Amino acid sequence: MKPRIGIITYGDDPHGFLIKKKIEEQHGAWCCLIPCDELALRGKLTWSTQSGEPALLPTVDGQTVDVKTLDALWYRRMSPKQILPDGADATYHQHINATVERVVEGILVNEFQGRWVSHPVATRLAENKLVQLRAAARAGLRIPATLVSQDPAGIRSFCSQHPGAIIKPVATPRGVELARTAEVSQELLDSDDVLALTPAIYQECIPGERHLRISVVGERCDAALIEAKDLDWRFDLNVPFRPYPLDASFEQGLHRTLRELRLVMGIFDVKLTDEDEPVFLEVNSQGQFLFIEGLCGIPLADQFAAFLVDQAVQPVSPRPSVDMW
Amino acid sequence: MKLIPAVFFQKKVNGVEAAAKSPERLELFESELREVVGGALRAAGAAGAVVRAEGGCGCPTTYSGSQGWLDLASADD
Repeated sequence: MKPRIGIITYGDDPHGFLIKKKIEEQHGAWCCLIPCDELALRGKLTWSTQSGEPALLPTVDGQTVDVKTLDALWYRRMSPKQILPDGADATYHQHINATVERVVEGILVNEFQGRWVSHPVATRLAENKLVQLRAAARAGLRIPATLVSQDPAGIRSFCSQHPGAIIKPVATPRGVELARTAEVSQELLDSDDVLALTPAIYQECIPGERHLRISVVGERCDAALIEAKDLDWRFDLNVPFRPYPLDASFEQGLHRTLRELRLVMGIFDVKLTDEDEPVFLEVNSQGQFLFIEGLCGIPLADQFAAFLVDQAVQPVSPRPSVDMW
Repeated sequence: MKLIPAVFFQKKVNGVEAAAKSPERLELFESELREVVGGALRAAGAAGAVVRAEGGCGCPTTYSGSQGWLDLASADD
């Protein structure tokens, strides 16, 4: 019987479409896309306490899939915002968003019996930068000295101890204004009201111009070296990208970090010091990776499709209970 | 002026930086991706399953709140 794989993501996510195509064409497996932002629009969400009832979710091709029949599920995105059907009163948009999100989460956690990539609870927790920094440290990786605070005196003290300290957001919700990583200015340090409004991440600046974007999927680690002067290289990709071999002990640290976070994949951002020491900056539990393939040719999409198929044919691990977290 | 979070205050201090053009090889890769998505959506459309507005290429006109096809700068990605 063909392995059956589900991908839950936005209805127009190119990552999802490409991986589905590769799963079908290269492995002959069955794959469906569940459009997480079109669930209110497409309808058909149903769950029941009665045993034997299918647990149906809509798919992008207009069908439904019983999640009980899936062997693996790539939990790539869950939308906080639903596209509303014509005629829906936008006053109730937040109600609809929250309701759909809870129902889908409940259906998946209750009824999906296969292997998660990765579990929703682990995914959500791992998005917390405070949690992931501590996990990386426990895993033996070097992390930058970090303060997360809205206390002006504490922030000034930290920045005086770490000249050139940087500031970056604790969280960046999708669809809102972006703020890039930047050096903390004196003007900011002089603005008590601004510092006190909300916490931010203040961090030791790791000097150097060599960044690593590392895709860790199952047992594989694939790193790209990015040579960029900018602290935040994401906004100008016209810089050298090339594959970069990793030290085996560092790879083990990356795997340990994922295990700490109960993730089966993660996209790491790391900076290399001038002495070649890798310093963990953050891990994205469902980070973007296709652009790395486009920029330096590492066949990440092929590898990821093969990984999902492999997950689908593996024995199912014990279901995590809520108290695991 | 209303108070704004420190990360956006720092962004204002640093001033607006012009968006860099995407590298040519990435543009090419993206166009191939668009073909994959567009083809899939056209197939779904033929089956009557597409539920959102499309641009001329058969691709969706929005990206579900993301910043672009590769979504790199969006959210915590």
